[in-house]
Amino acid sequence: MGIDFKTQGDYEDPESFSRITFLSPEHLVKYSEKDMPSERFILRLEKLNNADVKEQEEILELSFQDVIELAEKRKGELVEAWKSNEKVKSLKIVIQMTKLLTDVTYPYLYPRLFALVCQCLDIFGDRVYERLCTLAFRTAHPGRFSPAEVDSKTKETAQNWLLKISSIRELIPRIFVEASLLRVFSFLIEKPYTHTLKRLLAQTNGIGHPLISAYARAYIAKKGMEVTRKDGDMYKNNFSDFLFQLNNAKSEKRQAEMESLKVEFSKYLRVYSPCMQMCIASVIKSSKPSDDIVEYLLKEHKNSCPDSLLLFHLIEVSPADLVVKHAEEILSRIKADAGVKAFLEAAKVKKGEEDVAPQQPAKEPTAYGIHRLLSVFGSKLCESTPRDDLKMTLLNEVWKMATKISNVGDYLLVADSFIEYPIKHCTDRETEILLKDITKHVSSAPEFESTTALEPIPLVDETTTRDKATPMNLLGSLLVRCARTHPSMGTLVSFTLFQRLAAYLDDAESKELGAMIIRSVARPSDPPITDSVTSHFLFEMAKKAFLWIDSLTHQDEINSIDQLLCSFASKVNMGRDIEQQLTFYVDMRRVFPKFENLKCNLVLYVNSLIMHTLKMTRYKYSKRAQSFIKSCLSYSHVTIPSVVSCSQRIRLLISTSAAALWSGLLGQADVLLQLLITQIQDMPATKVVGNDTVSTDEELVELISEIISLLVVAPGHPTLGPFMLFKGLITMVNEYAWPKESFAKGVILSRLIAGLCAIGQRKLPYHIRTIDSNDVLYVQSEEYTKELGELIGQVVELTYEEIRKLRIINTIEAHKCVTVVSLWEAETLLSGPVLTINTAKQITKCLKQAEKFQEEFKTKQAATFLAHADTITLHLKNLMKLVKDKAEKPDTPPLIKGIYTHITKVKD
Amino acid sequence: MSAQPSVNIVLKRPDRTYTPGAPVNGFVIIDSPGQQMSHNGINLLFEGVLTLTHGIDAAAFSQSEQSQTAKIQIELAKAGKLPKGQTEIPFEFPLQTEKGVTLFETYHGIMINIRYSLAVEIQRGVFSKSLRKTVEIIIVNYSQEIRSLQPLEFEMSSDKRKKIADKSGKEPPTYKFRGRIDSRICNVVEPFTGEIEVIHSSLPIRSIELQLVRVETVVSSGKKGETEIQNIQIADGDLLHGTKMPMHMILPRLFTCSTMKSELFELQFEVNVVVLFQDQSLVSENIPIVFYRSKPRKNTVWTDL
Repeated sequence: MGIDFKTQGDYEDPESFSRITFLSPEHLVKYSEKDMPSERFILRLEKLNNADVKEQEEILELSFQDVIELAEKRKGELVEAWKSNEKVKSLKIVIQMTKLLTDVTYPYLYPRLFALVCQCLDIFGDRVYERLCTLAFRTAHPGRFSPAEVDSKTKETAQNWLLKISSIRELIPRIFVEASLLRVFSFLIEKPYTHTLKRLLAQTNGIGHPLISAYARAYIAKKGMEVTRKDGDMYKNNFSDFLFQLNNAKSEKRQAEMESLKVEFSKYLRVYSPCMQMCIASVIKSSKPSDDIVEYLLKEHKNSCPDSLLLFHLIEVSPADLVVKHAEEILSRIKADAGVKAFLEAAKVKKGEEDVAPQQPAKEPTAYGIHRLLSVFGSKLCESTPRDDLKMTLLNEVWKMATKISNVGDYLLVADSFIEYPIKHCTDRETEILLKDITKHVSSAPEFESTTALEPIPLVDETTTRDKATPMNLLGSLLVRCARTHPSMGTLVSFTLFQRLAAYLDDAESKELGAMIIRSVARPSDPPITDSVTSHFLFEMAKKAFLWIDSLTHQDEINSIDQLLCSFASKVNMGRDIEQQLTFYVDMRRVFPKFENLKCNLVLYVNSLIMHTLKMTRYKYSKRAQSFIKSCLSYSHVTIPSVVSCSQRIRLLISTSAAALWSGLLGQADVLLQLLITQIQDMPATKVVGNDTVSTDEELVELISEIISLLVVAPGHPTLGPFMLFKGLITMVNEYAWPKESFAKGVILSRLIAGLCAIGQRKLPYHIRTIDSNDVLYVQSEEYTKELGELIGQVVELTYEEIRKLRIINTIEAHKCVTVVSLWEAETLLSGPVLTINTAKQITKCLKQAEKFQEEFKTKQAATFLAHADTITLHLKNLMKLVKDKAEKPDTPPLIKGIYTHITKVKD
Repeated sequence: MSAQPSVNIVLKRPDRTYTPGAPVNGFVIIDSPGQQMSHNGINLLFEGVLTLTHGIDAAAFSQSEQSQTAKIQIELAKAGKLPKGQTEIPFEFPLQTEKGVTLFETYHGIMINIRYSLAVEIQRGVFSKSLRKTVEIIIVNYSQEIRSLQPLEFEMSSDKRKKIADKSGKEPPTYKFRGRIDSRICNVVEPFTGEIEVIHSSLPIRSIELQLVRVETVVSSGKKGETEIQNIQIADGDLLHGTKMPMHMILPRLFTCSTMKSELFELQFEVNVVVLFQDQSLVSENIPIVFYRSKPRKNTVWTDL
């Protein structure tokens, strides 16, 4: 039998609805108390008069626990019975479970019970449906199908199921079981659902107790929404009927019942919330997009049920833009709500504005108080944008009411929802005003007085987990929202009000807030932080947020926070207030010693601070500036040795020494340079990059080359001679344990030659503006030049020795090294100032060497050797070109020209 | 898993429902595990039995009369051998009866029982027991005339009763319910529907129920029995004034059939709308109903014909 999936029937795509979690067990748990309230219930009204209080408690706890356990047990039995194909037994179990729902003596715990029973019903419904699918199509999930595709045997079975359940005598089990088996109709009838759903929903009118009927409606609506999304009218009718029955829930009789059960009435009304949510959701989802469903709901609110329960869920469930469209109307409804009115009256009395008798509790108990209404209204307003002319009015109106809420927890609930509103829709001024009001409330609240309060102080009503948040949590959440939404963190943080509010937070909240703020501040789009108060505040935040890092934290986390702090530190730029800035860096280093990256970056920032200072003083000598710079240098000097990585240390020292030289503090510069040179010996032979261990010699070559360039401009020592540092460097390089087959030493030595040659020139190629380098100090005096020549000769010797050593090692690698070194040597000598026949000969020799190995490498077919060959060829070519150019120059002495021709001849 | 040979009947129609004259198709499946089976003949017997009981007490049941209303016998196979394993023998025969005999609809009641069965029998010689299997066949009769709806409105009100004050001097209770039946003449395959509204009630309501009642009369003895078939609750708990709720009851298959009148018996049905109050008192409204069975349209619940 070919299965052709037609697109008939009103089996709409239910996927988007499944995201609605109303009536899911997790959602419903929110509405039931986890613990029993302090005043216990009684099982039967008579027992109230008789039994001891303690006895009552025991009885109660036992019986509700029993019920839940029984329900759980039954669920297991159902699954087992179905597995062993006992269908009749399964049906019996399901019917028994639905009968549990007729017990309403525990209204608070009803949602939980309901969730359990619904789970069972859904399991049962799914199993039956899958079984029928398997019978008809041999698969449990065939997708859409029409009755014409179903064979008669399956139809017969489906029919049997429906007949069986329609003969259940009691109304409540029958309705629930029929709803759970709704999909079975699709095997028998085209477009089966509308008619059946209408009937089922109408039948719930027959359930007398409003709580049971409300939940029955909710379940049917949920099942209906899973299969069809049309028939908005049906759901509207359902909604009207629901509101009609809700009157029963609020009747005098019910109030009396609740009083005898010792249940607070407003809390009782809230148990109807999931049903209200479900019914409104079904109306909204089944309406056409062009309908203004909020208008309809508001009309219903006015006519049938002007209750805060309806209003609250109306705002909560409706799409944000529709709420915003009707914002004015909704606000007036909130004001007109009975509970709100009573509250405002009471507030007036407190203020002594009106001569009313001492306040009475609201005559008509209301499910949701003003704070909850305003809070949900606020969150919707923040999601969507209201009309421009209304923006301010709405805020003002709402705040007029909100500011009267004396309980700080309730107040903060509203504030938390509304704080994004002025940030998103109004200007900073409004945000400040709002923060001011919040500060006023918070500062006068006893909960915030002691900063060491450890116990969470519960709010007035605790029906939902949201409310279980303490005022502290709410304040924290409020500030975090600010931090997250405000486009410019720097501006926000500079509000003194914000800082004051943040000061009220306790440790846990501060941590979260701090992390959020630092993240926002470190954003590249944020402006730099320019005043010390703000930076201090941020620093405090950072401290609270990140001080908990210890050795147990994962390295990746430490790295990311490290990065964050670096970006944060880089943002701080106090312009002329350099002392404060230095203090900031000092504080950062002191408080966050574990962060390597931060330390290194701080040193760099301090160095750039020095340069900045110099720029400010326009490089003229100033005593104050000098002492400041000295303190900066000592900062660096102290910090650098604590850096773990040697190569980082070297880099930082280079930077610091340069800064010292620029500031003209030669003594400090000397010390730093000496320290720098001694660091070389600490360089480890290998380092780990990713998963490999590589040799550090190449890096060292680069670093030392940088040092050499710096030493060129460093002035000589007054007593120890002009080349003290160079000598030190040469010794260091000589004594370092270079790896065997490395060209590093050779190359460095050739570069040293270049450096020494450079330092011997009449005029150095570059200068530091503020100091006199060797060219000025020694002006190429004879002694100077002689000593320099000796030094160069020394180094050249060392180079040749190196080459000789390498030649002895007769491996390809060593040959390569020899070639490289020779080439560098040649280059250096060619560019050098002094060109004698000796050196010319040396050059020729080097070039010959290079050529020889180039040939050798070319013959080897391996890729690596070819690569070597290529580099060498390139280098050779360049040198040849250089030689050619020099030969062609008109003003070189003839001796040199001759040498050049000699070399080139040899080449050819 | 018995190693015994067995026989089974499988009909083409899964609901085993036929009209008089319709062909009955199916297979007789004989399972002979282990060895060949030799037999002395395979026969099918279609039989209809009418049972009348004069009364609903235990004594009456010991004296019920049974009469055969129809009989069709078919020989499927003469004596012979059947191979090892499963053998399927198809059969087909029309449900024809002798002229003048009407086949009543299948009905399982208390005083009246009309049952039809199809049995297969394999005779296996004098010494072995014959193999037998019986399945129940359901006969339905479609009404040829087209019946129109006959809606009925009713009212249950305390005004109708005389206002007698209670002994303690309390005010007598007042109540008013208004209802509507969609049709007094119902198609037995479709649900019985209507609506009821609570206008007002001074007594709190416990439950509103629909009671389906059968009224069976045996002509020969004139005995009549009224018994409940099923009871469906349509409201539970105390209802607000102005509540409207639908009445919806699906009629059970074998226990209801078309309203019948014949020389031997009479079969009628009634529905009682019963309102129970919290103090255990009740009011009820009796509505006699006529059932018929109309020919099903295509694509409805019942299987193809």
